[in-house]
Amino acid sequence: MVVGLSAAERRYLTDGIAQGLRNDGRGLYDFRAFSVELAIIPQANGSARVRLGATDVITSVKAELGRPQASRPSQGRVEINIECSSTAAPQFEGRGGEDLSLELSRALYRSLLCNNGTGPAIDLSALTVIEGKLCWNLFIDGLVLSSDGNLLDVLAIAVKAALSNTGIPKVEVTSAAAAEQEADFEISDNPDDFSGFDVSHVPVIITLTKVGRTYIVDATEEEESQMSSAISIAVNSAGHVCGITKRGGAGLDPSVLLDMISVAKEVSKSLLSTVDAEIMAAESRGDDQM
Amino acid sequence: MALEFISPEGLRLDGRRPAEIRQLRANLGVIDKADGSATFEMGNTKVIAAVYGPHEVQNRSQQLLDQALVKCEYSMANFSTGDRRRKQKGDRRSVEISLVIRQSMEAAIMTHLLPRTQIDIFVHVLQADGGTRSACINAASLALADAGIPMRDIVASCASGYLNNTPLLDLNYLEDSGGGPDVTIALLPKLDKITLLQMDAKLPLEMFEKVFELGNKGCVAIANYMRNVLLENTKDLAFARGVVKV
Amino acid sequence: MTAAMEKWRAPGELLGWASEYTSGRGTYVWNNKIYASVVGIEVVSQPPVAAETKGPLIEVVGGKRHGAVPEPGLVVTGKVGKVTGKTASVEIVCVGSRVVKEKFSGIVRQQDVRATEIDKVEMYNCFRPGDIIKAEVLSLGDARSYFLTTAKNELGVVSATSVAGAKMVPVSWQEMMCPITSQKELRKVAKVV
Repeated sequence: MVVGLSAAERRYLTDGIAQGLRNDGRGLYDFRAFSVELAIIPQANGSARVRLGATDVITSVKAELGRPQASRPSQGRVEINIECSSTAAPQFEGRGGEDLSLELSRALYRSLLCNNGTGPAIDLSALTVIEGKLCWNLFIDGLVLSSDGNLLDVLAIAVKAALSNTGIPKVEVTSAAAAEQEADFEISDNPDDFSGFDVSHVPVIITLTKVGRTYIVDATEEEESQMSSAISIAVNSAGHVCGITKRGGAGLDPSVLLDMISVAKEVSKSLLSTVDAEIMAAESRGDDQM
Repeated sequence: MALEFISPEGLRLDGRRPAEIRQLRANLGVIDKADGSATFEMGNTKVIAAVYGPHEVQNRSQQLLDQALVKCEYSMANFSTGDRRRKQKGDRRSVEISLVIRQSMEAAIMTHLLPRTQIDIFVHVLQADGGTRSACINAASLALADAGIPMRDIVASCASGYLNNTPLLDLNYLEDSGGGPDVTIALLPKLDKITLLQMDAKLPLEMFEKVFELGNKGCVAIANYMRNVLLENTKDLAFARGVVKV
Repeated sequence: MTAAMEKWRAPGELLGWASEYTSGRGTYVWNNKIYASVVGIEVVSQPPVAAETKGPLIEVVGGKRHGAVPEPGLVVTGKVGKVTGKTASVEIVCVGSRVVKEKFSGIVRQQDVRATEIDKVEMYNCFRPGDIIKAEVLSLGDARSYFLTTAKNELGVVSATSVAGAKMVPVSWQEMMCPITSQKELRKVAKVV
C-alpha cells in the first residue's frame, strides 16, 4: 500500500544509473558513510550497532557453555539469528518479517560459517574447553531497527564488529572427570581474563544490485525496488570468496557473473580497511570513556 | 536470607534514594522511515518506539467509522535480558503489554479527528532492567508527538513498589523480583487523569496510598523531562528550517 | 519572529479560556478551557469572519505535522484505476500539495463527474485507467473508499496518455488530443490555469 515511485522517478533512477549517476551523488561502487558503536549491550559478551545511511542494526554475541556435537567433539557451535523489528516497516508486524529474517540469517550463516560451521571466519576449535564434554556456544543475534536497503552488508559489518568486541571468559577446570561424569569448572569473573576473537578472517559481504544493465554497490531501498537481480558476495581479507547468494528473478549471463565477482573483490579491499578503521575508532572511543 | 533492598543509610542497591528515579535519556526522530520515532532510557532499560500513520486501515473489517484505529505491538529483543531467550512474537506477556500500551495511548490520542484511519505503534525493548512497561509508554508518547498526531496530553508512566517497609520509586529488575508489590501508573499530567493503573502482589490500603502518591510524583517528573525533550527537538528543527513561518 | 517572542507548547498545556479565545489548529476545547494538542508555537491572531465566537484565534503551529489524510473539502490528486459503467476508482496519491505515504482509496460516481446533465454521463468518455485526476473529497464515503467529485471547472483529468502512448494535450473541457497521431479522445478535462 506504500506509494511507490512515480513513472518519472523510476526513469530518473534507472537512466541515471545507466549513466553512472546515483540519486545521492555517489559513484556506482561507493559505499555510504557508516558509523560503528561497540559494547552497547552491557550484558552480552560482545555487541555493536552500525548505522549506514538510514539503515540501523544492532548485533549481540552471547557465549554459553554446553556440550559439543558428537560428530565434532573439538569444536564449539555458532548460531546466527536475525530479527526484523516492526519498527523498521509496518509490514514486519506479527509474522510479516519472518521470511526476510530467515533469508538474512541463512545468507549470513552461509557466508560466515559455511553449512557445517567449518568456515574460515571463526576458529571453532578455539571455543573448546574440554574436548568432547564442554565447549562455548556462540549465539549471534541481530536486530534490524530501520531499513534503507543493503541489509546484508550492514549485518555482516555489524557481526564482524560485535565479534571483535566479544570477550570469552576463561574457564578453570577444577576437577578432571571420568568419561560419563560432568566436569567441575569455574568461570573467571575477571574482565582481564577474557580472551578476544581474531576477526581478521571474518569476511565482509558486498551486495551488487543490477539495475538495467549496470550494477551498483550499496543500493538504497529506492534503488533496490528497481533491481532486476542482486548478488551478495562474501570476501575476506585474503581476497578469497567465502560465499555467494543470488536474489531476484532475472537470469544472469555467466560472464557478467564473473565480472561482478571481480568488482566485488575490488570493492571489498577498501570496505575492509574502512570497517577495520571504524572498529578501531569505536574501540578507542570506548577506551576513552572508561 | 532476605536481600537488603535498602541499606541502613537509606540507599538502594544501585545507590539511589527511595524516591529517586533512574537517569532518563530520550531521543526523537531516530528512525527515518517512520512518521515518528523515539528512544527512551530509564537507567539500564532501553526501548525504541516507532509510529506509522495515520494511513488507511489495512483490514477493512476492523475499520472504525468515526475514529482512528490504534494498533500497538510490543516485542523484546533476544539480547534484552540477562539470559538469552528466543522470544516468540505473540507470547502472552507481549500480547498483554501491547494491549496495555494501546489502551493508555488511545485515551490520549484524539482519534475522532482522524476517522477511518489507522495509527500503528511499534515498541521494541533493547535492554530490560525493570520498568519496561513504563519505558514503552513513555517512548510511544514521544513518538506520537514526534509524528504530529494530535493528543490531549503527553502520557507519562512510572512504576513504584514497597520493600523493606519503604515506598520505592522506579524499580529496577532486582527490586522488581524482590517479591514486593509493583504498581505501574500512566498519567496525563496536565489534565491530571490516570490512563493506566496496574498492581500485583498484596499491599495494605494505607500503604497503597503512599506508593500511589509516590508513583504519581514520578510520572509528573518524567512528564516534565519529556516535555523539555519535545520542545528542544522541535525548536532545533524549526531553527534549522530558518525563521519559523506561520 | 525573534526567539524571545515565541511561546513553545507541548500537548496538554493550558492556553486560555474558551470564553475568551477561539480554538484553532493544534488546539482543543475541554471543560471551557483551550489546550494544545500538538508541539509547536502558540500564535494568537484575528478570528476568521465565519467563526461563531468572537474571541481572537489561538493556534499551535510550527511543529511536525502528521501525514496527509483526505478530508471533506480538500482537493486531492489521484490515479484512476478501474472504470465501470457507474464509477471510477481512484488511488489518492496527494492531498493538496502534500504526498501521502500510503495510498488511500477513492471513488468517483457517475453523478459526481460533472455539474450539468449528470444522468447522461458515460464514465468511459470521462476517465480511462491510468489517468491522473484532480478531485475534491465529498465525504468519507462508504466502508471502502472516499467519495470524490470532479464537478468543477478546475477538477478532472490533468494528465493522460493516448492509445499511441504519448502525453495528450487538452483541447476543450471534453477532449484531449494526442500530439503524434492528432487523434482526439474524450475526457472530462480540468481547466488548469
